[in-house]
Amino acid sequence: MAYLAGRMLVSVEAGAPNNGRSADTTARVKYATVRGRRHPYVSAQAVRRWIRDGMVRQGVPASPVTRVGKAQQRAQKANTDADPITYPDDDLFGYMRAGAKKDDDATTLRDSPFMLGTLLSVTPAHPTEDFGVMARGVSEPVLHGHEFYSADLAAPFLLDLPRIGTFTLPNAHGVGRPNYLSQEAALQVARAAALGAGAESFRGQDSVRLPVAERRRRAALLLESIAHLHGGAKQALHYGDRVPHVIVLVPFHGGVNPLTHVITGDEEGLRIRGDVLRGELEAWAGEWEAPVRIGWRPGFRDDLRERFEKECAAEIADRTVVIGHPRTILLELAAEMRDGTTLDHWFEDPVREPVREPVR
Amino acid sequence: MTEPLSAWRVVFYAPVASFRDPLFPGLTRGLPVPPPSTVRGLLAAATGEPSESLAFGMAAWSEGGGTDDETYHPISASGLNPSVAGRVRPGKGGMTIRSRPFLTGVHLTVWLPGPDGARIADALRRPRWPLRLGRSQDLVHVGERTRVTLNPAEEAAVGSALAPLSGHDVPSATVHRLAASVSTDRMASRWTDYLWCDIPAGRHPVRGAYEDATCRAHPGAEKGQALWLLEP
Repeated sequence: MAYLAGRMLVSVEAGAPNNGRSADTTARVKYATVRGRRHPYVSAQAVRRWIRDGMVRQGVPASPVTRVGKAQQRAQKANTDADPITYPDDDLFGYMRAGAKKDDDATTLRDSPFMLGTLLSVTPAHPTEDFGVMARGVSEPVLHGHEFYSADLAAPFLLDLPRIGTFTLPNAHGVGRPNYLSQEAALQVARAAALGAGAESFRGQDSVRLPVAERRRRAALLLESIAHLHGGAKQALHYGDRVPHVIVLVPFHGGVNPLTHVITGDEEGLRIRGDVLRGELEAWAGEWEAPVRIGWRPGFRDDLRERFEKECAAEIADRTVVIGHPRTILLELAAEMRDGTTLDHWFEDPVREPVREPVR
Repeated sequence: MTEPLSAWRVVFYAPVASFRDPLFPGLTRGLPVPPPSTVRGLLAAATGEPSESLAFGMAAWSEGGGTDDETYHPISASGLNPSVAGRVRPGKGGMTIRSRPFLTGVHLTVWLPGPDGARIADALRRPRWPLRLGRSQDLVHVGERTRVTLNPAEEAAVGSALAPLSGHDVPSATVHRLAASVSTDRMASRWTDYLWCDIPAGRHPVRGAYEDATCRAHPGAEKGQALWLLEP
């Protein structure tokens, strides 16, 4: 097993969690135009920021603040570069390190093992423009309008578990450069050696890898952070809960995410489709591992839930599909990962047997 | 080019994806279709090889789009502007906001001919690296994979297929200069001009094309989709 694929739904009620550039005195929410209609969205990088900040709030040490000025000439490099070996957030979310043109430094980056799509509204929604006036103790009132909306936003995500704490090294042809660490640089980091990092081959490339205990801890931190998710703009005016209202998690052997149409929308509004989930699981038989974990917040769209549970009744009865509160589902999965007795095989690529199609 | 060809047809769907045009340095101009090199990268991610050099056919269109405002936190190699929990102070070479055009509802159809095509179609069942179309956040949904026979055609529905400049004379087609392939060290790109129609074109005379009689790559197009095998 190697990938944790998922889809999350965040229901926004009268909120403006992510805004674009303002027009005149009015702050505009971000929206995409799909088939000529407006779908509000929260950009992927905004949600990644919420999750990242959530990890910091859980006490994961973020890169320390070092003030750099003329007095210091130069900062301590170990604290200032993105350091995925020391900091779980740099490891999970990746970064870009831009070299100066004049120094001919290569631009290097870490490709994020945690991939999250845009939280896009499943149905068109028309933002409301709220007219705001600041008139306390001023003779000329200041106008400050803003838009807000109510919508169900859904995003796919994919966690490449074996790549957590794994840093590929460039070979002679430059393949695998994205992780920028040279073997010396990687192993020289005293902490990496102290953590017991070793050199090994990863998907055909040389790599340096942290021990599995640290890697499973980092994966668990990420899930725990999603279970505590909150953040975004306009918290004071439009406070809203951002813990996913519905989340679907399926571990896959390969880097696919076939859950796109499980949470979707049509003219009727939001759809959460058990028949689609069953169809995908059947089509990908042998490529995923039970149970399918579904988090569904109590009281959120009971009508859809009843229908979903009816459609998946057989799977729920034999525990192929497990439904619980999103927080419980995420925290239990994180605890199971940390425990290391049952899920350690998720952190290695599956043994590759040629996959043969059923002949149609 | 006279014999029918056996191939796998694979459809992909990305709810949101964006393809930056690298020919505009310093600006983010979005491309309306994924470049062939991007699709090649997607196929190589599935097989786990450094690159895939088979000639494949592709058609793509999108349901809509928008422009996002993105905050960049580039880390300078000089260490003068450190990143703290992923944040970088604003300033020259530091935190900056850029607009980024993106597409929504991107539909991509790829035709993979021959034994190489069968090998890749097989790998798409269990991709070695995560499948993405565009950037790392643009997760892609693999749709159905179908075995098809491609027949050389004199006339076919041009639809939203990418064609070489000599492929057809549809007046509404526009020329896009896209990367055909990028070397594995990312130092060299091969640029090629392609014809593409944003509104699917109907049946037209085509040159050097194959026809997939069972396919319409766009719901508004006719059956009998034309496709051109694109070289790396």
